[in-house]
Amino acid sequence: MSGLEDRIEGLLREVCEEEDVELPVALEREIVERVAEDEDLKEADEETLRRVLRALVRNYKVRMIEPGDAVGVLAAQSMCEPATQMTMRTFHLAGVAEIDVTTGIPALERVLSLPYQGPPTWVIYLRLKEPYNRDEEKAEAVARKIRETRFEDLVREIEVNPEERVIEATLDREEMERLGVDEDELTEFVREFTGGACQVEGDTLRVVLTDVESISELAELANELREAVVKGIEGVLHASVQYDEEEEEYYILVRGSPDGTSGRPPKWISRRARNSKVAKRAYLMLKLMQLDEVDATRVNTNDPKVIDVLLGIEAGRNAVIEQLEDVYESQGISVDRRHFMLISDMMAFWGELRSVRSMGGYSIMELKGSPLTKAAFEYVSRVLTETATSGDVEELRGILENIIVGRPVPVGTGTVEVTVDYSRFREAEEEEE
Amino acid sequence: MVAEEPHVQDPPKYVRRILFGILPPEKIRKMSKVEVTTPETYDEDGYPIEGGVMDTRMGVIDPGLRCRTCGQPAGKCPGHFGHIELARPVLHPRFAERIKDVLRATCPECGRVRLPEDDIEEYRREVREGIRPVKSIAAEVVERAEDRESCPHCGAEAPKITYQKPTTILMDDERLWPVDVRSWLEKIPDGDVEILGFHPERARPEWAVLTVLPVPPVTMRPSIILETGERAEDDLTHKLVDIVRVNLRLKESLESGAPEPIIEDQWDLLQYHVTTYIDNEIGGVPVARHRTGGKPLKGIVQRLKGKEGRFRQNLAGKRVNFSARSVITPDPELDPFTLGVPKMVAKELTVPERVTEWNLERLRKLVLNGPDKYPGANYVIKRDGSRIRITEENKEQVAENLEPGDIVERHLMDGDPVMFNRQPTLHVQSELGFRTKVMPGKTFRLPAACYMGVGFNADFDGDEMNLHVPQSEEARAEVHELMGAYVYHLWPPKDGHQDVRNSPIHEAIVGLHLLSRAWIPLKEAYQLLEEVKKEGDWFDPSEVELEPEAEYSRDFERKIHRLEFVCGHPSPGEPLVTGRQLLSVFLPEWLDGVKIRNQVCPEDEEHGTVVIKRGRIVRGFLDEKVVHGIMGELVHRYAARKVSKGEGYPWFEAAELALKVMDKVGRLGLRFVTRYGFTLGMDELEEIYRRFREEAEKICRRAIKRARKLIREGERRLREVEEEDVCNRSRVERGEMIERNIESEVMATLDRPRAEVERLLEENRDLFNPAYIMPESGARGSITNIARMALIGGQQAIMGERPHRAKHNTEHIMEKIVNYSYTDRVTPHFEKSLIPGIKEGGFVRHGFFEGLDMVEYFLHAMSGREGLIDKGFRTADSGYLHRRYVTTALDLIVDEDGRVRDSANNIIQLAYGEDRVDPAKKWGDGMDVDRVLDVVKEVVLEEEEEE
Ligand SMILES: [Mg+2]
Ligand SMILES: [Zn+2]
Ligand SMILES: [Zn+2]
Repeated sequence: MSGLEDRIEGLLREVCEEEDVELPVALEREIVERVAEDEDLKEADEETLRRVLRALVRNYKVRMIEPGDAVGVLAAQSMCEPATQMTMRTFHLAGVAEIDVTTGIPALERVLSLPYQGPPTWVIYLRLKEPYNRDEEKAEAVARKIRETRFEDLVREIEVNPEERVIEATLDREEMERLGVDEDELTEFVREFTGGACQVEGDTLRVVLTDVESISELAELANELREAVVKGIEGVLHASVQYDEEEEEYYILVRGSPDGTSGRPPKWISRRARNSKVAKRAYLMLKLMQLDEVDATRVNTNDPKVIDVLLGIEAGRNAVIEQLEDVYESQGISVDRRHFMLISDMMAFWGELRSVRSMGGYSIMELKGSPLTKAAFEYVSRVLTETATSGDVEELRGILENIIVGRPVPVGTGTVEVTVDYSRFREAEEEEE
Repeated sequence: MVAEEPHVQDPPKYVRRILFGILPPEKIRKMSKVEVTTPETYDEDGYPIEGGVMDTRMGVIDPGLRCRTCGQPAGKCPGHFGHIELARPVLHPRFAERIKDVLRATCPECGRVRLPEDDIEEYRREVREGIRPVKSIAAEVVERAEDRESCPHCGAEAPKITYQKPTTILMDDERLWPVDVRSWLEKIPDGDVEILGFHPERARPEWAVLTVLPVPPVTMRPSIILETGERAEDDLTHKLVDIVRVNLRLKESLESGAPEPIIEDQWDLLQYHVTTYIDNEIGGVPVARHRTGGKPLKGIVQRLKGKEGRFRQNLAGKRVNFSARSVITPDPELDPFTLGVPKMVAKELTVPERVTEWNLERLRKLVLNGPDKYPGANYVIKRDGSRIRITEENKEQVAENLEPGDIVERHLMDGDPVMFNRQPTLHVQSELGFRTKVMPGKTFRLPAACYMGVGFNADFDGDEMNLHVPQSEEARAEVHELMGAYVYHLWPPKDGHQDVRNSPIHEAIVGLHLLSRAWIPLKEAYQLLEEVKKEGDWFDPSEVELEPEAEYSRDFERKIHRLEFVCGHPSPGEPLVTGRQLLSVFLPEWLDGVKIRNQVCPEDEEHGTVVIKRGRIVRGFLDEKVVHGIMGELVHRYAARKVSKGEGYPWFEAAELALKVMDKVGRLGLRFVTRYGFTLGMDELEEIYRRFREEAEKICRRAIKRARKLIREGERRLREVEEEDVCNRSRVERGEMIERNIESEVMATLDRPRAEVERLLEENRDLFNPAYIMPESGARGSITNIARMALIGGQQAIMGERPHRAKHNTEHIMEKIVNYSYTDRVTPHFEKSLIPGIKEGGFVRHGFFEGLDMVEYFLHAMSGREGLIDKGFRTADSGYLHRRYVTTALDLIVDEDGRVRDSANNIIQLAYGEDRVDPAKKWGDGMDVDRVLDVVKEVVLEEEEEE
């Protein structure tokens, strides 16, 4: 069998050379396999096989994109024209307050514009390792562990007694139970946080702060305490266990704060992110990925820039493709994958994801050299001032620049010249005579 | 006669590149033709004054005058620059901020950037190598240099530079006048200029301090004569007059040695006028206004800016000639690719045709017809370039003198290629190439059988479209070959064959579906074919031989498939043919081995799958999916065959063939429904209503009961949470969560009845009821529409939720809602409740057939309105997205090696789409090896047999 395949592969290579085509690897493989297993061609001689292969190769050839095709415009049009028909649906996930995942144009904007402030609802899909993904209880425990729990979530009331330099809080036993914080844990935390003496009598937690001098300082401390994160990872606003029917496993859906997490992100994150908000979001995701229970290889998020910062440009590129596909699929609109690939390759070209916004931030436009295109896009006077001071040169290589100066555009038939060989005419006429 | 090389016009001047920069004063003086010295514009006779801003050396706009520079009259003279020598220099407002940065970064004594030599050298290297944008290098240099307290080159101390918008610069809290700024900037060596973001040759920073002001040509700021006979000058002229006047006054003050404060005032005024002349929307100074009316004057920046500015309005978009616009109407008799053009348009839009000895007589006849009689001609362009307008008076003489080499601009005629466009032009298919067919009437007529309007997104409720007539042989060829019969317009690049366009739609689909189920008396079958035939058609019904498959008998209808039926009123013994036979007439014989499962009855063993063998539909009922499928098979199999035979580029022919076939097939469908009739009326809905009413009622009652229980339970739980005395974050959240979960459960529960009714309808399909045939065949509408009309409106939703009013207890919006007159109920007719009731929440129990009650009607209208508003926003949003996206991706083009490059020649993809397949031409995901191999084998075996 493999002998036949080798023979066919050899023939195919020869044919490709004759036809001056290079087949994509996958297609070459497929052709070899199909021809080899074809019943009708079992007995075929080399000449017949060669003919069949040549025809196949030529069929590929006529389906190839042609030089000069404006594939960028095709991609843009193919993606934006159906956007007119998109509806904006908001999906509420069962059992979770506050998590809406938008679709339609806002979702498209989220992927293409890479806003610094992140998606309207930033979610992280936290996949778990065995056995946490098998057991709802175990998954729930992980969710509890990471969800940020603030002091105010655990108490009913906070009162400040300025004369005695005391902060008093009424414990909410029910909530403590639900969020899995016990009394000792809480008092220990408060002691460390405030640096004062702390004890519990009945349902009342008393913090005595003899060192604090002014009343305002005390009030401030009480406020800080109110918002202090007792447990979990700061920035994890929500963590709820969901069941994935396809994968037959539990996972944790996390809604992250658009401001990310506290602490200073590692240098490599800050450098890649170039914006502190993005860096802090990436850092939060990194913290989550480093948890022992989490299967870091399958963690995902709806913010492609975070993926780019954390996992590199290839991952970022794939995230853009994947998320674009999701947007269109959820709307029931079919768009060829090649368009998504092109746009994400364009966004990824500069080594970090760049957006299709008009200016600023990670904008692609900012990097394109042509002053005239920029001027015709947005912010005319700013662009002209900047290009004038730096003495830029408009080389007139692009499309819009050439439209502006009134020259034929270098695209499609504009990339080639057609001339007539008049000597042939004369020859023909002479022959006629 | 020996062919001559054609007369080629001198190539127009060619812009190779454009250098941007700041004009140095010497250059401004050099390009100036006149120094403007007086604020006077015209003398008593209305003649432009010498040395004024309208000086005729800067060009003329009045007919009768001649330019004193080039000697040409208005319209020919391109205009020439002048200049104003400023008595004292002023800052260019657009550059002031940059100048401030430069001053902060450099030393006032030696002019060097306040950084060590090594650093400067390093930055210079970066600039020259172009690793990162100059802008960001300059920003870094300024940031670092301004922090230094003294100059590392000469040791001088760094002064404090402050800046007030738009043009005031202070040094150590004292005014730094432009003269001083200029002399400071002059000191900066070229090597340092570079790293400050300026260009040493094209943009020295001191040139941003204006000593000479260029005066734009008169032709660039023409005055207009008002109805009253008064002259109204352009805004720029007004501003220039101001500048000259103040400049003159300043000069006089300087010469007469006026006190410093007065001079400084006048200097500031000069700066103000120059600032607003350039940019009249700049912050920090009052806007300059018209003396009368007070309207803000348009500065130079305002001319360029925005959607109506020079760039977007005149440069990136152009106006065209040889175009027409009119309302469109459909025409089922037109061939696909043919466009009906009104005669009055054809007489106005012309095609230039060069006279040769072979077409001389024909063109002479057209010239003789003149401009009014169709087909005629409007102009003749002689070989020397002179243009003669053809009139009733001169037409004989012009025809007489016509000779080879002239160009005749003749009327648009049948067969001429034209471009047809509908806005918004969102994709390639919005502008198609057509062949002209001149017709009476005033509308453009779009071929309707193979519906050519799909890509345009056009309907005929008053839509207007634009026509463009190409004016050169090259353009005509491109329109014909690339924009017309081309695969792109059957299978748009969006998703290729998955997204078929321009195939029969609507009633044609209904017709084809019914036809494929019909038994037709032989005689009537031939009549149908006769009706499909057009004048001068490639198709001739008399050559068709239909072989009857059965004879009619009394119990015939019992012997055929349950979904088949007999058309007309055949008498016993009359020969019958099937509709499938009739359809097969148009299919080519090589269309073989095609199997497409339909969606109308996919479970049916015999007719759920359409099978085509040797160009005959052996079995199967057609529907939209099958029609699209057949069209796909036609193109791709034809192409594969042609390529396998080594006959070259297949796509034009394949597309043309598919359209030719589908046009006939579509017409047959149309003729069929027209002949035997198809109606969807109240009766059809009533039938469904009567049959399913009880069951639907039951479904509704069940859902309502369940929802009531949910609501009661929800209210109880909400009340519980509410009664708790604390209000911490998690409590509020918990309350919200309960509410949301209950709401979404109620929503889901009440949304179910419609879905259940739909399922009920699906399960009891009656493919003899038109109300089913229409949606099931894919012609139009869906079962949802039928369910809504006949049985149940279902749950209405606003922003994905049941309609509701604000809740009084929802803490975080509490403040906002105190002003509302009522809360906790959808309309004041209901009692207050924590969770809206069922009817109150927009559950529409009735269908349109029965009619909605008032509450239902109101809430139904609410969600209808939401849809309308939503649509409006969507168009605006996606329009902006489109513009941004297209501009960014505009320059991505495939090169000769199949790589994608941008205009800077960066390689964006090494192989387009990784496999270099054009999505418009893909079969399967790229090249469907299985299907192609089938065709290939067929062809190869055929060929071998022949040998
Ligand atoms: Mg319309
Ligand atoms: Zn002139
Ligand atoms: Zn110095």
